[in-house]
Amino acid sequence: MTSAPLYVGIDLGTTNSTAAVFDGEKVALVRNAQGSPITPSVVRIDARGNVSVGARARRFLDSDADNTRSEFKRLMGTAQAIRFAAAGVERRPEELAAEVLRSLRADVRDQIGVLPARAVISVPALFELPQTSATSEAARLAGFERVELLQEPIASALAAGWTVEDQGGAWLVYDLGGGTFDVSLLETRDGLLRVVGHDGDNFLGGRDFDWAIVDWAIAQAARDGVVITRADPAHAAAVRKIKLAAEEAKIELSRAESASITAPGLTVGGTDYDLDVTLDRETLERLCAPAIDRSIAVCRRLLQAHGVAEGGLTRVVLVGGPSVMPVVRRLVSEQLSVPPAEGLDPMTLVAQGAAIFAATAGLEARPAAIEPVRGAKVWLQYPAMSSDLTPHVVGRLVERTGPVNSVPTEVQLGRSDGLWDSPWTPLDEEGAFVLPVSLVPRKPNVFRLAGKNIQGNAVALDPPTLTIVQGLTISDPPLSRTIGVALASNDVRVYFERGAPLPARRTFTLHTVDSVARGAEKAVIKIPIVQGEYEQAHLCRLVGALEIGGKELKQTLASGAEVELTIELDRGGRMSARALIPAIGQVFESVAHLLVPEADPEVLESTVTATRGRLGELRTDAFRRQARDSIERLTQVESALDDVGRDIAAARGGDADAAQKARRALIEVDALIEGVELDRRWPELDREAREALIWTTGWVQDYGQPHEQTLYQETAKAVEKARQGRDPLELQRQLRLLRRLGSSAYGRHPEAWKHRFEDAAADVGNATDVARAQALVKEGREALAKGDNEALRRVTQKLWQLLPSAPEDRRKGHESGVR
Amino acid sequence: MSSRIDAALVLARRALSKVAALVAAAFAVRVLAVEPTYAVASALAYLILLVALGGWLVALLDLIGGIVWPVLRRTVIAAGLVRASYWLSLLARASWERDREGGKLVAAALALLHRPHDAALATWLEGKIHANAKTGLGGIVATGLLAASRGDSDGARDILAGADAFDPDFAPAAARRAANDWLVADAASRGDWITVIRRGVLPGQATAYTRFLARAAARIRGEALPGEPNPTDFGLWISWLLAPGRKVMRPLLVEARAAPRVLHQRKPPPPQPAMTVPLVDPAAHADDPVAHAQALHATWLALRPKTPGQAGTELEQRLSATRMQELCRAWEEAWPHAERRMRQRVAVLTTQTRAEEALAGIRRAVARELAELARAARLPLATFEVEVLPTAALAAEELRAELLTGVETGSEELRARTAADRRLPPAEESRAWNQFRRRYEEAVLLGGMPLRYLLFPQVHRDVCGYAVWLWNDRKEYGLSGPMFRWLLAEAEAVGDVEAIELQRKNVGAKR
Amino acid sequence: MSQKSDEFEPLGDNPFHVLGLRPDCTRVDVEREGQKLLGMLGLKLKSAATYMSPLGPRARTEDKVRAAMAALRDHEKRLGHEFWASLPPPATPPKPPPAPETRGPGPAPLAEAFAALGWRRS
Ligand SMILES: Nc1ncnc2c1ncn2[C@@H]1O[C@H](COP(=O)(O)OP(=O)(O)O)[C@@H](O)[C@H]1O
Ligand SMILES: [Mg+2]
Repeated sequence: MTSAPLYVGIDLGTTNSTAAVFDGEKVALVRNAQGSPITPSVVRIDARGNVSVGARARRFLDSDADNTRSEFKRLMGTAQAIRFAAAGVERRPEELAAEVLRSLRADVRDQIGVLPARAVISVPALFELPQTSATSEAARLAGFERVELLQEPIASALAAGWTVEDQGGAWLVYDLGGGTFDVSLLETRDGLLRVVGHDGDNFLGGRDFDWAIVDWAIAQAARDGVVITRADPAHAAAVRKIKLAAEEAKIELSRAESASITAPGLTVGGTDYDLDVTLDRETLERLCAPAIDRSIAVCRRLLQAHGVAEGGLTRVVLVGGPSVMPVVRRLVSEQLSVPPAEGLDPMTLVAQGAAIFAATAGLEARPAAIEPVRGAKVWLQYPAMSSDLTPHVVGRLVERTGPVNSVPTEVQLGRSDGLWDSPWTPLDEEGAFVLPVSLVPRKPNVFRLAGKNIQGNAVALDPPTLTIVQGLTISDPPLSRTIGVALASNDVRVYFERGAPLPARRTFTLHTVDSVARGAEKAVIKIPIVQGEYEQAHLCRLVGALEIGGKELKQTLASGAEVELTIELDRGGRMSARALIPAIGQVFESVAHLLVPEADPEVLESTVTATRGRLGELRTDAFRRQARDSIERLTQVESALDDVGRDIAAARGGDADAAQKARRALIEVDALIEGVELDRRWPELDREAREALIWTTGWVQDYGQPHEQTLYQETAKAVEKARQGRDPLELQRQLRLLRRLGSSAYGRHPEAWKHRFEDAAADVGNATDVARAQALVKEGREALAKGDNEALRRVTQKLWQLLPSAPEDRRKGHESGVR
Repeated sequence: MSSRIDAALVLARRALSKVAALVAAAFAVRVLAVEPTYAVASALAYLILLVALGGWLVALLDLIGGIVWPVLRRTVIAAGLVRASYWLSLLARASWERDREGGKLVAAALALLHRPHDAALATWLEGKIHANAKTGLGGIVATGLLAASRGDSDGARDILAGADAFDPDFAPAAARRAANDWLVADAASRGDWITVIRRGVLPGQATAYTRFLARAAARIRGEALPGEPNPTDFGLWISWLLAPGRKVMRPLLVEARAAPRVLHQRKPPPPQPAMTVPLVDPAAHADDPVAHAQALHATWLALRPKTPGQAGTELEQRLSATRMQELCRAWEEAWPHAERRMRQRVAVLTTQTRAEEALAGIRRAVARELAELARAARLPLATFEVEVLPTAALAAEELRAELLTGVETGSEELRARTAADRRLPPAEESRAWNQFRRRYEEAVLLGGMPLRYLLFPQVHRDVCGYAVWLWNDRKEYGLSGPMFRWLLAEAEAVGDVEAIELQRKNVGAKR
Repeated sequence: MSQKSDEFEPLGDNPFHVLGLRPDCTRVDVEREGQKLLGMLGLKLKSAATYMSPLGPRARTEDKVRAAMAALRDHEKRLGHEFWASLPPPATPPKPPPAPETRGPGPAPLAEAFAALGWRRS
């Protein structure tokens, strides 16, 4: 056998990336050519097409911004192409990520001497499907044969749990990165690690500290009479320089008490200026406090969502560069009244955890070597890593025929330290065995597998040994957001709830709403797959779609035909879907697209305008109703819209990231507004019900037939009941019945049709065919003049048919073709 | 004047077609016994003769035209010559005068059933069906038979059953008979003899084939046929003689003749099938009310029909209102125990959810399953003891909501399609409508008058708009006529005076 | 038993039944049994292929086992499943269904019904 196992873990960060290796006993960081364990996630392509990665590229970030790119992780899963001006090439985000991975892979080879073929790569917990699949693609491009994706908070906790002795209770993983903030609530019990929930802010991180410092420095410069404006493009180069200096000072201040911000040779308004100011820790802490408070508010929200009381946390694990800052550690632990886990390196924790996870997943980094068969071959199943001290080993003979002497009939497992042996166990009729084994805590345990043939002579088995590491068991990674299918009614058929264990697979039977003729070019039935926690499909994010096109159909598909739709997610959250149509026995498998939708500033802008319009109406209404709660929520919407406006402006300037942020924010705004509208609808409906009651009572009493009067009594009771139970659906039903009773009675009134006609005529502007409607109105007026009640009625009924009431649910629900 | 001649001609044709059918039946006895090649040859000979004899024969043929279709069915169609059947059916003008194109399609579809499955021919026919701009029952029946030939029996059953709802004034008898033949054959092959008896002697749709099956089944089961006495030995024999496929049907004849002839009286219902042994015996858990309720619950759940939509045979027979009440009562007894136990567990597991909350969720889940059971067993809502049993009340609420929303969404779908002018092919249109109607009728059956009152206003609005659209914009008279009649009947049932008046007028309208 | 849709049934798909455990089991039991069953299913052992539920024997799949483990790890979910598992599943697989005495009244299904018309059986 070769030496110790090798497991590789990679933290592919937005700002920085790290790799670590684990040999079953201890974790080591992988250093790059510069000797640092941290490689900036920056890629530069120069005019000759040479690619450089990491610190060497980062140096050009401010001097050669057009050819040096960072933060491409934020664009993963979008179709955004990233241009390198000098070389004149474009790269997709995953291609740049692949460059970083390739460089880390080479670092492992330089340090360990093995070019890893398999690894674990961490991804943010709230990554959506398109983003995870882009990450897998990046790994493939970087030459990895197989990777597993792991959620960053699990990696952090794993690393923290592995080095910190005691376990148990609820943990918080607080990960403040360069520009993103993620917080996760985890729970360890009996050596089992489980993610309870996530939250975060995609636009909060060390960068906000840097900007706060920049603003402070600019204010300092103003004292010297130098006016620098952040929004002025002419000052952009100067601002970039100041920002780099600010970041350096910030990092310095994590160790020192004061640091200087020096940016010599700035050109501001035609004159040169040397910036040199001193920043002390106290000022820094004051500048950073607002951003830190924001992050703590997110933590509170998460804790509240999961019913964790004040002081209910046993530990907080701080991760990410800014978490090195003493002020962050202090504020977080004070405000949440929980001690921070000490002795952990926030910058490399994620990579360490990923490496440990590679062990639990049995993902040995070395390419599989083909070894000669040395005995009866056995298939084995056992956990590579387990918290259980007595896990099971399951085995099965590959071949059960052959010379009697070489076929084992009994097996035994023995621990290599000689202190534990299983009893000899006969193989069952399938040639299989299930044996509990005993582990030594916190060690790799090697067991040898022995066999005996029917005569009781030893038979060699292959593999002869197996290794189980005693440590932490990790539950299957949970799904970060609910996944389902958008239906034509704009409802969502939920396939997997948030937190469902991955991998997962599920099938439901849906029904088509339209028919598609065989060969019809344009006719398609679209099955949109959405992700999100909302009940209405249009609020969820479209992550893919399966299309059943007339072109591919073997036979015409009837409307209402069954479609058995299966969605499958692998461990890393990559999705595949297939639709089986039993009536014609055909399968459709290609998911049409799996990209984060692009956010066009124009489209965003018009959405904002529309939303503002709706907001105005709702607000007027809310003030009229004195609905304090709604007003509050609408104020939230208002300020969110302001933010969105700013992001759109940035997006116009080419910041694709800001566009994505705006798009997301708009979806959330939509949900907020929806809630307010729901609140508003009830009183309206309620009022309608009261009015209908008053209106119908008279008519039914005066003109109703006896059976109508009895039915009316019952319906009135049911209306009251529905009003009390606040059941809008039931109320609407009863209202319809009530109205019909009223209208039947009213119809017996001699003037009834005249009134009805006038009502309909007043609504002509909304008719589907205005011209025809107007002609009808004219006809009606003539009938009215002649006193021809019969004709008037005919005309009115025709008019009614032209007056629409078509909610556009189908268009809303991502144009779904199934129900 | 001329219209009177027309009427006379039609009458004459009808009379002749009866005679022709008899002649054809006798003829068929011979033709069917021979090889298909012979059938083809004879058909060709017939054709050559036709051409040779010249135009006056066509006129004559038109007069005795009723004979052409039966002859075609037994010759070209029986030989499975799809394309030839399609074109030759043009000769059967008399049988398809209202729906020529439909006649061609039905002929081809029938021929398709007479030969081993041929995907290319099926596709060819599908193209023809879609190209058919004019609609009618023929197209619908052809679509159904095509589905059958592709092995989609469920789809075929669904579409062909729609022939019943088609306006007979617009429906060629030949199309209705072809549909009925298939439906009876399908029912017989599944052993659904109730359907065979009901459909077999339907006036206007029955054929010699269906009559024999229905009579034999009625005799064996000792059941009365609609509008006919239980058949005699001789009557059975004659029916058998007239029916096709005498050889394979002979055992049925023998069995029927051996059965005693029952007059005007149903045999006492035969002993019920042995109940499936319950997996868990509720009696064994009498000491634990929770387990007892669950065991009882499980016993009934295990009897649910395996495929959705299928009548829940055993469940339907056994789950009576009393049994349902027993089940609800068992749950009622379980709740206090469950709550106590739940409280303990909440303390041990230190969950955030309170025991009452958790239990409320479970009660809803139970109610949902009870509603599902009641629906499969066709238990009317009125039989739920909502006053005394809260569990029953919850279940009734679930069932009521399910029935209501089912119909409401169906109705809304029709409305939306009308508003958007989204047209389906006629067979689909017929199917969509029948599906909706079945759903409505189920809701009315289980929900009774209260649900009917509640649903009618919306259903009337939507279906009426839909039917008017079919009538005015799409000239689908055969489909929409019966819809107006259906709406009228419903309006009368709920006593909606306005709707009654409106639908009377619609029913009276002719194109 | 052959469900077309993966609708979850609280009695038939109860995680305790899937893992062959009773409601009083510990968390370690859940992990141990789950891991063992996943191993056995991975090797396609017949002995792990089905489990007994009060609604009869059902197919056990890796997905079901993993979902069951996840459900029982979460105490909020476990609470509800404990309730549904109050009824122990039958110990032995039931006798095969009673002899097909269920033939209703009337003639047996006529398999040749289509052939009598000269039609292919569909
Ligand atoms: N020692 C330090 N003290 C304070 N901030 C630091 C320190 N080291 C790095 N940072 C900041 O951390 C951020 C990067 O954090 P990191 O966790 O690597 O980001 P990401 O997870 O986005 O890749 C940058 O804003 C950087 O300025
Ligand atoms: Mg990070």
